[in-house]
Amino acid sequence: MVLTELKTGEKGIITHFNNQQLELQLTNMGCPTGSTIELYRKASMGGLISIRTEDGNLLAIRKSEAMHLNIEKND
Amino acid sequence: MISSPSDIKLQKIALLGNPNAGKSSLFNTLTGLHQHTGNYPGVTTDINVGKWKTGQGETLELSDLPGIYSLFAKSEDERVVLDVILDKNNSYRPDLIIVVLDAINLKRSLMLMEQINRFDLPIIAVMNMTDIAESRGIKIDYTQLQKLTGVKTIPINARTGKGRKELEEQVNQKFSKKEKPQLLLEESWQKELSSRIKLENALHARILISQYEHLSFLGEEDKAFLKSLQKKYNLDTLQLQTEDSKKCLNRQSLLIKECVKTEKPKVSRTERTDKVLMHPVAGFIIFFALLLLVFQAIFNLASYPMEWIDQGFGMLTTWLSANLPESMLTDLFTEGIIAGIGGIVIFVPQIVILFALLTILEESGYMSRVMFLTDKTMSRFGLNGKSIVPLISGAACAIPAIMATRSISNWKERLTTIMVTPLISCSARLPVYIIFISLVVPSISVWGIFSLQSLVLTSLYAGGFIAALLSAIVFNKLLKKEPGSKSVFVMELPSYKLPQWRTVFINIYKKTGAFVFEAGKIIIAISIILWVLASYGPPGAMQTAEKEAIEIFESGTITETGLDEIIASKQLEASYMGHIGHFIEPVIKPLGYDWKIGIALLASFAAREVFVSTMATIYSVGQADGAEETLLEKLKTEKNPETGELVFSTAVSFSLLIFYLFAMQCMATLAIVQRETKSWKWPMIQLIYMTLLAYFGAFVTFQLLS
Repeated sequence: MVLTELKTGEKGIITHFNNQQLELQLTNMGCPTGSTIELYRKASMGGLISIRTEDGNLLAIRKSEAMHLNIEKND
Repeated sequence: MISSPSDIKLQKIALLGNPNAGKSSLFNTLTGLHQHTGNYPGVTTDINVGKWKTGQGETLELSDLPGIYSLFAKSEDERVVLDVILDKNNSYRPDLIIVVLDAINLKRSLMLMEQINRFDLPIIAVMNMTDIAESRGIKIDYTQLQKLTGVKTIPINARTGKGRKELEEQVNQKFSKKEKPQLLLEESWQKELSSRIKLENALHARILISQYEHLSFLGEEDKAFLKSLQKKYNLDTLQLQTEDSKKCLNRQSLLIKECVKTEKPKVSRTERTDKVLMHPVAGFIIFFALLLLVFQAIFNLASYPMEWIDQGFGMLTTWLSANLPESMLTDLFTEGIIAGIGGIVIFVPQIVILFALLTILEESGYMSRVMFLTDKTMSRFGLNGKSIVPLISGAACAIPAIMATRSISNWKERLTTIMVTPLISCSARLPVYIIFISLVVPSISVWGIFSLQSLVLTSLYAGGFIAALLSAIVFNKLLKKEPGSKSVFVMELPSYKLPQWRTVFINIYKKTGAFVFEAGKIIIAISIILWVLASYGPPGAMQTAEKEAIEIFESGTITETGLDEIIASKQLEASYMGHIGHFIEPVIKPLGYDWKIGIALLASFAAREVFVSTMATIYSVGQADGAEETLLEKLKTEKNPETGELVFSTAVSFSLLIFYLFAMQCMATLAIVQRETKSWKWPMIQLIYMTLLAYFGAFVTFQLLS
């Protein structure tokens, strides 16, 4: 599944990025493949999606780019 | 003191770290007001440079490098750091780098430090945000950390200045050049590269191969070589950078396990606050309420000091003209220079208030929540959540607003923001608005609560904002994506913190200074030129004008006006300025303007606020003694000498309001746009489209109302 399918508060492990540029930027911000992320909040009307990284940072990306972030949901 | 040749005399020190790590706080704490903005050559990035006076009596040059996450830079701002580290001839190259580590973001802070530590520049580290880390149950063993990283690390609090003494003692020590580790190049492309360019390490090779297009210090031949190398080995440079960062992150994870203990964190205050501030409904309501508050503060709070400044300059002018000997020089001083300075200083209260509030919102971490809420809406117009700050700042002054677009990493969205920001009504338009609104809009209230005048003013501001959004759509359609830029929108939401008063104060000081001196220079120069153009004419013309005026007065055709006024008016018409005004009259006649307005329009191509001071100059040149009427009263009674009708009718006044709403009447803004886009193409396009918009807008307004 992709990041946009997570509900607020749900966690998942990043399995794969379909966008290399996104992968590079998120990796440099401490959020590489294999790390756990939590969906923090979604903005209304398909706006930004914010996530909490493993280290507790809050990052926001656009929905169109969040679609390129494959995750495996944690139970 | 004897120093061995390997010792480096410390003069230049640079701060480097992740964005939001508190780098600028530390910079402000260490340098106070002893700082200036250095213009970094070649790119548009500014670097703050300051004097750091240590307790040991030394004065060091401290520079605040742009915040970066990794040496694999993604924007122009970030590449400045690469220049500084990789280019040995760079003028900003420091003798020592202080890496600012963020205790609540250790992993990625340490990743950046490891990258920098691979190069030969001496480094030390400071650990910031230690108080927040402590409250989150993060415990750091510094002895162990230093042992593992090999970098001296000092815990500090950038906001309170705690740890400053230890840092200064450390900086005062002698630093020896690092011992060069053996160059280990595993891959064949790296070995081939090292045959041409002297490499320090494998990371150096990876940075060069993936960033060469944007590195200013590489020659064309080197770039061509790197390009062919990339092709020959079929290198996926994005993959290459990601792999390197991932490995580096993993090493930091292992390192952190050995020196950091974390207790289970509680639900943070940030999370609870975000439930409200990032809420799809409550968040917007709070945002609009705050926006209203900011606008109220700009207009109401600022009106008192503005009135004092206005009266103060009025009194100064009257006193000076009464007490200085009557001469051309006195006239130039009072009517040209003092009037010009007054026209700049009057905006200072508004700019101070706007930047105080904006800095507080920014520093507290709230601004990024606003971006979070508004990004979707803004992106419909081809803008970006980050455009909201420039657009709001544009209500004070387009110059700092355009400088604030640097945080937008997408070039196309940034350029669009730059192109439309000057349509937001800035504080320089306000005096023009106020003069003409009070001239033609009756001071009555609508439905008992709103004053009609302030409703018209609000509609003008709304009109500017709507025009900016609509133009953004057009620019978004017309502009092409920058070929080299593929960076995606990733924004950090920092945790909330109380704004630091020192930062707020320093920011106000710097922004106001930039306005007063950048715009001030131009305005004073224009004021002097205007005065000269209005006071001198072709040889003999002024004397002829005076003679004519006396004849008119003696013939008794105009009875209401005194001789001095007729002379002043005739002489202005005969002056160089009058000639220029007459020359452009045919072009502006369809908008309802006469040559006098034409003069003010031309003069205000330099800066809008010049319009009001020009009108003041036009109507006060050679003015009769003692009659210090306000400009408003003069305009109200100004009649066309031929027809006897009022010059500033409702149609003409509204036509002027619309003209000023759209017109690109600010040389300082054009200069800033040129600097930010590195080309005259964009400011010229901006000038043309805004002038066309203004001309046709004013034309339609005048034709409909007259």
